[in-house]
Formats: sequence, C-alpha cells, structure tokens
Amino acid sequence: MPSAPPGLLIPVTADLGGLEKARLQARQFLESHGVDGRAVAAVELVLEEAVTNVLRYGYEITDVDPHAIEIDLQVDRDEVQLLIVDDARAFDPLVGDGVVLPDSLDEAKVGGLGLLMIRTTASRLRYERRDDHNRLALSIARSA
Amino acid sequence: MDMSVDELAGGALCIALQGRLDSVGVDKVEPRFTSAVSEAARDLALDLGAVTFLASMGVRMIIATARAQRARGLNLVLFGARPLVQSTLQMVALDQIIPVLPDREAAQARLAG
Repeated sequence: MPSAPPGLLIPVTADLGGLEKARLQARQFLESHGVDGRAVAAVELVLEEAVTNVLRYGYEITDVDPHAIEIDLQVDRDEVQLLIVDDARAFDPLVGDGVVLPDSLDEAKVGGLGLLMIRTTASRLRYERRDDHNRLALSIARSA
Repeated sequence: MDMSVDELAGGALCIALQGRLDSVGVDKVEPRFTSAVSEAARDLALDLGAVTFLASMGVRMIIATARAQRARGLNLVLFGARPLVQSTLQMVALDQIIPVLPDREAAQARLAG
C-alpha cells in the first residue's frame, strides 16, 4: 500500500516573528525531502507574500483577540502543495485582472505586487471561504 | 539583513545590502537605509550582490527610494543581483523602470554619464 506523501502542518502566530519561524520550518522540511533550491525559494516567496498580505490588510487595528494562520505543506513526486488558512477578513486573491506592470516610476503601484508574485510563481490556485476562514490552495512545481 | 556603505569613484553613494530583502529584512534595515540615503543626498548605487532573496516588501522599498531620489533630482541604479533576485526584478518589471546593471563598474559608468 502506498504511503501518504510527506506533509507538515505549521501553525503561525500572526506577526513577523511567526512568519520567519514558519518559513524556516517549511524550508527545513522541504530540504529534508529533497526539494531543490529553486522550488524551496518559490515556496518561500509564496508564503511570504500570502502571509504578509494577511498581516498588512487582513485584520482590523482594533482587533484584540490573537489571530492565527495555518500552513499545510505536502510534498509529492512532482510538486509541493500548499494550503494557507487564515481567520482574516474575506479576501479572494484570485479575483480581478491582476496587476498591470508599471512602465514608469510614476505608474509603479506597489500595492498588488505580492499578488502578482503569487500568481506568477504558483499554479493551480484555488480560493475558498469556509467557516469564517480564507483557504488558499496552490502548487509549486518541483522542477522548472 | 544588514548593510554597508561606501562610495563610488565619482562620489556616488554605494550601499550594499546583505541577506533577505523580505518583510522581516525590510523591517530591520529600512530605517537605517532610508536615513543613510536621505542624509547623503547623492546619487545612489544599490549593491544587491549579497541579497539572497527579494520579496514585494523589498521591491516596495526600492521603488520608494527611487521616487525619493528623483524628487531631489538624484539617480538610483541597482547592480550585482544574483539570478534568483534578478528573476524577481523581472517578474515585477522593476528592471523596466530602474536601471539594473551587472556590476559596480557598470553602475559607476552609468552614474558618471
């Protein structure tokens, strides 16, 4: 009977320290399963951008309860699958036409760059709002 | 994330960033970086040779710096990016709006020209 693909569930405290800790855990896990440096960097980029978006835009400044984000990583033969679950306000990163790339310094809009990076780096993106949580699932190919 | 500051022949400021230019790295280096750039009030060459990772928060810091420089009639060029960082610069088309050069000599020549 084939065994389940290796996986890791990482609970993340919703702050920059939590993000850094989660990134290091994810990196160690991926490297220990032979994922190459390029794919590890792609996972790190997607995690950074997704979690940074939640931290910057997802919560109210008046929120008093602690927030939590959860990252689920699965490694199979061809790809790394990520599921990022957060309790921030509803936000579907896949809605909209995407970011228009700037052609001058005046036009450069820094908002939305993270979403552009996620869409460019990952594939098979799926978003769902369930039980008051955002669930963003995506895949990173293990070879370019 | 750390930084070191020196000068190009010709007088432009050269700042080398070291480490990961992500939200954690930017949070750490941005106040020092911004005040070094602002106090120098000179053309700036940003050495990315020791930057191991670039995320959108780093891109945001570079764009803000380019705008601040331009508002004072000064230039900003980037140089030395490693392949991973170079590909992120291209992904967000930053290389279309800020000069991205191969090395220190090219940065010096561009700022002198």
